[in-house]
Formats: sequence, C-alpha cells, structure tokens
Amino acid sequence: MTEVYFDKLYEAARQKAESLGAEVFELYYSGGEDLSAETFRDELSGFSAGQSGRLSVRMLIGGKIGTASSTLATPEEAMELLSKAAENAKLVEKDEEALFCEGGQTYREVKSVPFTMPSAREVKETAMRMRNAAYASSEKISDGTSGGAYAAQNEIFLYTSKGLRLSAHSGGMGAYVYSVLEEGEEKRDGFESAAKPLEEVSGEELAQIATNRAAERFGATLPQSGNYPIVFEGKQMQQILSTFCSVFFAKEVQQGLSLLKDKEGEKIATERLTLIDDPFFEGNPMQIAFDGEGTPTYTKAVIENGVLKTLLYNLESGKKAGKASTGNGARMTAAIGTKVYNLYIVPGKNTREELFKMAEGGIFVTGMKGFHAGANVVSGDFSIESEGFMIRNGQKAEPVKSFTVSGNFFELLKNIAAIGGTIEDMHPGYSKIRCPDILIPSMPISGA
Amino acid sequence: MLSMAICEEVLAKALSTGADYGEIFAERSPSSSLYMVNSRLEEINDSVVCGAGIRVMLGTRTVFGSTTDLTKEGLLRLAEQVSEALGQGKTGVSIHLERQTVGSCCPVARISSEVPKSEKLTVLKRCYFAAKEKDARITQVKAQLIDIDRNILIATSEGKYVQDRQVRTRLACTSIAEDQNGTESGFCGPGRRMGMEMFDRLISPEDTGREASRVALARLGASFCPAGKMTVAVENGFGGVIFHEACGHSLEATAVATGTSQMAGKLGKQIANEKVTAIDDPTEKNAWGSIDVDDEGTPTHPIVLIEKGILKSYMIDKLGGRRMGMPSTGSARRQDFTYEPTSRMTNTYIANGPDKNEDIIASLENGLYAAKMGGGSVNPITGAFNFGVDEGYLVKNGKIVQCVKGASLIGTGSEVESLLILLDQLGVCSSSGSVPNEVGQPLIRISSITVGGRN
Repeated sequence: MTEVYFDKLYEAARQKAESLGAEVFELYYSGGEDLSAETFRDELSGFSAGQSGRLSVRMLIGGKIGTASSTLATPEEAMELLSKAAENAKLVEKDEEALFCEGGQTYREVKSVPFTMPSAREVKETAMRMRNAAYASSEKISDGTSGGAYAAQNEIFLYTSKGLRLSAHSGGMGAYVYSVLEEGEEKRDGFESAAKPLEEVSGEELAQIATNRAAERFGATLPQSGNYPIVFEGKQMQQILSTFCSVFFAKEVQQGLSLLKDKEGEKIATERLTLIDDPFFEGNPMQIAFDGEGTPTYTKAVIENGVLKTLLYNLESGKKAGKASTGNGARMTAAIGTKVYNLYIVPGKNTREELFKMAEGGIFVTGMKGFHAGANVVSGDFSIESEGFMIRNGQKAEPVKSFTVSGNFFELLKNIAAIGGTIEDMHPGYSKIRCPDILIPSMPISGA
Repeated sequence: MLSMAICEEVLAKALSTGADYGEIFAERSPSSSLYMVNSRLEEINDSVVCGAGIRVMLGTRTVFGSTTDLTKEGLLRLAEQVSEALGQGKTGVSIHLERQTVGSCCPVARISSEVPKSEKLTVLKRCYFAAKEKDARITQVKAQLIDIDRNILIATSEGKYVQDRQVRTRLACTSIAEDQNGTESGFCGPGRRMGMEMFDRLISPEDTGREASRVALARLGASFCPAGKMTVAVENGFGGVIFHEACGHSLEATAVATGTSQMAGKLGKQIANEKVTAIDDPTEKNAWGSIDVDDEGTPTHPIVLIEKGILKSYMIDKLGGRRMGMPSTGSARRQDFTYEPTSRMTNTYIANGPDKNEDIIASLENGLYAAKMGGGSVNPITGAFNFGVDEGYLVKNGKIVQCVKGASLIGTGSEVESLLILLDQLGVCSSSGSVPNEVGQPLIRISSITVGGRN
C-alpha cells in the first residue's frame, strides 16, 4: 500500500460516505508482508512469504457508528464496506455521542531506524544456521529440534474527515532455536529467540540457552502439595500479567468485568510495585505515536508505588468517566477496543540469587501453561499447570513438574515481597509485557 | 472465485522449477458479529477474509505464499515467487483440472449472512434478556451472535478443482454474577454448521442465556476446590476436551510425523482401557467441526482412532502423510488463506461405554465431579496437559455435596497413556446438549488425576 494509493482510495471513499449521509468518516488500513523459514531434521522444511492487510471503515450517521472491514483493499471493496457500515449504523442502539479524534493534534516523533526487509535467501540461510547450532549443542538432541528465522514489516494509514492524516511504518526480524532433547524414555524441550538483524543473531548463544533449558529439566518429580514461597521467573510473571492486563482497561471496569471499579487513586498493590505503559519503550521496533483512534500516545504509570494512578482509556471509555483518552484505543477489526503498548513492572534491586535466599525451601517457577483455561479474569482466580525447580540452600536445586500454582491476581499484587533487578522478554523486541522475577512469600501448590 | 483456466496457468507456473505437488487455496469468507452489552446492541462488525495461498512441495520440503491480490497477474507473481524459493531450473508442466463434487453433511436452510440483521438481533435479545432476568444477582451480560460464510476453492496439481461453502453460526453468552462474597462468570456458547434455522428448534436462545447465568450463580456460592490426586468423573459433552487435549493432538500427523508425539510408532498397540473407543467424525450432520472436504481438497470420512483401547489410526494431512509414508485421512485444516494446512481434529468423541452414569458418580468415595469443563492445552513433546473445570462438585461417598471453583486437572508425559488406561468407566452420552459438538464423550471416570486447587 503506497501513500498515493491510499490518498486516492480515501478520496473516493469519502465522497461515497458523504453521499450516504456520513457526518464523520474514517478510513484505516493496517497491513504488510512477512517472510519466515523453518527446518526439520537436516533440511529447510518450510518457507513462507505472506502479504496481508485489513481495510476498515468507520462512520457516524445519525449520531451512531457503523463499521465494516475486509482483507481486500480495492476501491470496489471499499464501496461495499461503506454500504454495510451505513446499514449497521441504523441498527446499533448505543446512544451516547459517538467519538472521533479531533484533527490538529501534536504527535511525538518516533525515533525509528529505517527498516529494510531481508532477502528470502538471508531468512532461509539464517534458519539453517540456527538449526546447525542446535544440533551441535548436545548429544541428546533429537527429532523435533528446529531453527527458524522471520522478518515482517507493517504500515498503518489513518485518515478521517476531521483532518487526521496519520501514517506509521514498522518492521522487525529475528531468529529462534527450538531444542528437543531425549534421555531414555524422557523428552524435554527448550526455546530461545532473539529479535535483531539476522546477521547479528548468534545461533550458538540461542542454542546453548534453549538446550540448557531442556537439559536441566530431566528427572523432574512431583512436589508435595502445600504452601511454598514462590519465585516467578520474569517470563512467567509476564504470562500472569498478560492474562490479567485487561482488568486495567476502563471499558472492562465500566462494563462490570473488572474488580477495579472506583479504585483509581487507591492502593491496590504493594508499595514496591510500579507498573508503566510506554509506547516508546526503547528497543521496541513497534513504537508508535498515535493509537487506533488517532489520539497521541504517551508514557504513563498505571500503578505507582502500589497506587492505581490511572486506568487505560480510549475516547469512549474516557468520555464516560469524564476523562481524556490515555491514547490506549485499539483497532480491533473495525471497532475500537483497548490495548497496552509496553506494559512493564519497574525492576527492583534484588538479584535472582537474593530472591532465592529469601525463598528458602520454595519453588522457582520457570514454566506455566494453560492460562486460557485455568484463569478467571473477572474474579482474578487462577490455577495453572507449572514446572520449575526447588530452591535449596539459596540455589536452584532439583527440577519439579506437573503441579499447579493457585492464587488470585489482585492478592498477588498485594503480596509481592521482592522484585528482581532485570526485566525478561518472552519474545524479545515484540512482547508487549515485560517483567522481572517476582517473589511471593506463600502460595498453595497442588502436587503429590 | 477463480476460473479453472486461471488455476491451471498459476499451478503450471508454481511447478515450473521442479515441485512435485502444488496447490491453490482461495477464499472469500464474509462474517458478521452482533454484540450486546448493557442491555443494548453495542456493536455490529462485518468482516471479509478474502485472498489466496499457494503451496508447492518437493518431497517433504514446502514453500508457501499468500496474497490478497486475486487478479491473474497477482497470482502468477505469487506462483513465480514460491517456485523460485523452492528451486531453480525450468520444467515444462501442464495441468489439467477436473471439477469435483463434495458431499453435503451440513444442509443449511437459511444462510446467516443472507438473513436480515434485524432477525439476528431478535435472537440475540432473546438470549441476552433471558440471561439478565434469571436472577437479581446477575449484574452484567455479554452476548454475541457470530456467523461466517466460508467460501473456499482448492485446486491442485493432481487435478482437483473443488469448491465448498461452509456456513457456521454461533451464539455465545457470558453472565457475570455478583453478591457479598464476590464476582463470578459463567459461559454458554452453542454453535453449529447451520444457518439461522439453528434457532428454530435445535438451540433455544433463552436456554443459552439462562445456562450462562446458572453457571455464574453456581460458582458464586462455591468454595475453592481442594488440591491433590483424586478420582474424577467428567460429564459428557464438552468434557470431551480431555480426550481432545490429552490424546487427540498427539494423534495428529503434525506431531506424529516429526516423531515428537508420545503416540508415534504405536499403531496396533494397546494404549487405552479396553472400554475406550475414540472416533473423529467430520461427517456428523451439522456439527460445529463438520466438513465434507478438507482444506487440501480431500473428501472426509469418519476415522476410528482407538478401538477397544487399541490405536488404529492417526489424523493425517498431505505433508504429514509424506513424512509418515501414509495417505491423507482428509484431516488438513487451516484458519484462513494466510496459513499453511496442518492436521487437526474435527468432531472427536469417545464412544459410549457399558457403565451406568449413576453408578459412576456413586462409585466416587472422595472425588470431583466435573460438570462443565473449560478449555485446555497440551505439549505433545512432553505430553503435559491441563484442563480448567468451569463447574465442579465435590463428591463424598457417592453423593454430590458441594460446588467448588478454581479447579484444574493436570497430568504429564507418560501419563497421557496411563490417563487413557485410567479412563475406567464410561457411561452413556445422552446428547450433546447445548454445547458445540466439536468434542464429546459419555460420562467418564478417571481413577486418579492431579486436581489443582487451594487447600
């Protein structure tokens, strides 16, 4: 999609929208291309090149909003979307004044590094390089082990009849190693990735980490049920926060789907905890100066020293609460939701070793799975299949598996006893949520 | 969507550098969703997924590309890209396609995308207000009516030219209940491969809403489930998610062909209690997961996976078949044109057994009765699996005594097999009720499994 093409598309669509009686009209496009390659055994098994996108229209007719969207971005499809959106606006029963971002806003400049897609050949060669490093990393390596590489770029256009003419371009690439190790009847797997220019990714580094993650978990046993001090590895705390982050969305609160109603300005967590949402998080290739509605974005503390400073608002939920949008409006297919950019827990002062000392006899949780089934976002309760290591003499000891950690997200925020000093990424560069290690003095686990 | 002549030309281009197989998957799939909250229609979303994917293979190597440019030039450009990524040199290929007809396991009377939205809104409101008015403690309801009209075309270098129209409709309701003890939610979301006639007799919108509220209210009064190993009885219907996660995914070629599944190399072997027979049936009339033809254009048929405890078959797609040296079982699926096919279950269920339901519950001395399961997941490498229990009851001396919340069932590794061995009692599946029928089973008893909860 070029700017010239989108300009023309917008102009044609605007005229039709006016003829349909649109009071405000908006055209949005997000799309791009991606390349990926992966290996199986000793060959490059798969290579994929995709081009996709989505064109959305939103318009205000008779004080109500109608929307429609399609993966096709042709002029004919745009006309069809306008007709559907007009029809939908008639049926919708939402009676508040519908909101669009006003023109003339000031946007922060994004410090972007020019991005060029790597060639198909580079992507394929990198995947094989990761594969070779993985197979060289251990004698226990078995089938299922693979290397991979990917690259993607995306562009966004957001034009409205209120004068917005916004566009953004972003891109990223990286590589990964997935190691499967076999020892007797047992198999263990480990994964590690890096998001940076492909020639800078070290296969050996990734393979060593992925393979070690698999190797150190052989012989894991079921721990006894009971209450234990728990240290959540940063990546696991990130999964917990990802699962429950919608409780900070004003829209969820207003619909009675989050327990944080009337809690702004109140203490909801330990004073050790500060939680920041930063659209300009350094090192993230997806930095963006405007949200899904065109509102300027900015960095904000959601929780500061335990106090809930603000919920996350889009234009509509902001208006309902008598507040401005916090620039967290998300474009779903065509409708508007809420999103976070880079939500992170501000690191504390403790090293992992210090956390282990404080959690003597406890469990270091390094794997959690099944949040979609084992967590209730409304009540905050969770009961999650986990694995990890016992903590003995202040150190990571024997591996344990197949136990559940149970708790409540809102209680967990209050019970954090110490915070690690380093933030970990689940998928470096791309993850929206980042956390350091977290110590909880006592949590029930279910095992033997 | 795409003429036979265009497909022949595009496939010839795709195979021009030596691929031994090529395929085009094109679709135009409009969908709509009506969403109610706060007692009013909040949003309508019309969405279209339209585009094409081209895949070529040489042995077990694949190259895949996708585009939203469906012009002949756009498709030829993509075909050239994938052929160049696969190999070099030039081979003259000529493709001759023949139109193939597909079965009709899912007759549709009124295609949802062609029904006026006002009629859909009426159905949605019946569900919404039934949920809302069930009890004064229901403080919020979210209800959604979703329909998709999936029009697909598959053309392959083996000469297939197949078109299919797959219509699905689903009503989903979430109720929130609140009292002095806290806030809980309940869900009910029946879906079928049908049109709007689904609501004439088969699915009651009111019952769907009331069921979501009933679950939320039941959980409101519940205490936390105790933790530890116990005997568990899992109710029929969506309870089949246990088989789906603990065993089904491990029988898919994607996991088996790479040698990473616990079930690899076990055909013909006893892997489950002899009471267990498991079937994947894509031809079940109007069921949510039903398809007449898979996403590689292969006609479907019922597959007996496990018969009296013995592993009889895997679920295989084209690539998995090549890796395993076995034919496709018609099990290839893809989310949309931007995805390569993978092997996937359709409607998977455990067949009825000889035991009586009341005897199964009565046999629990100190256990858990899982009346409604949530979702779950599995790691096929280690076999570690987990399931959430949406609605659970503690059973003491054969009697249901108390509703509990926060329970999950988990197991690992070799326990996948032992879990199937431990499925030691199978009752009778009365019906699939008002839940989507993609998974199903009779009431089953698992003699020992770890239950996650809070002491």
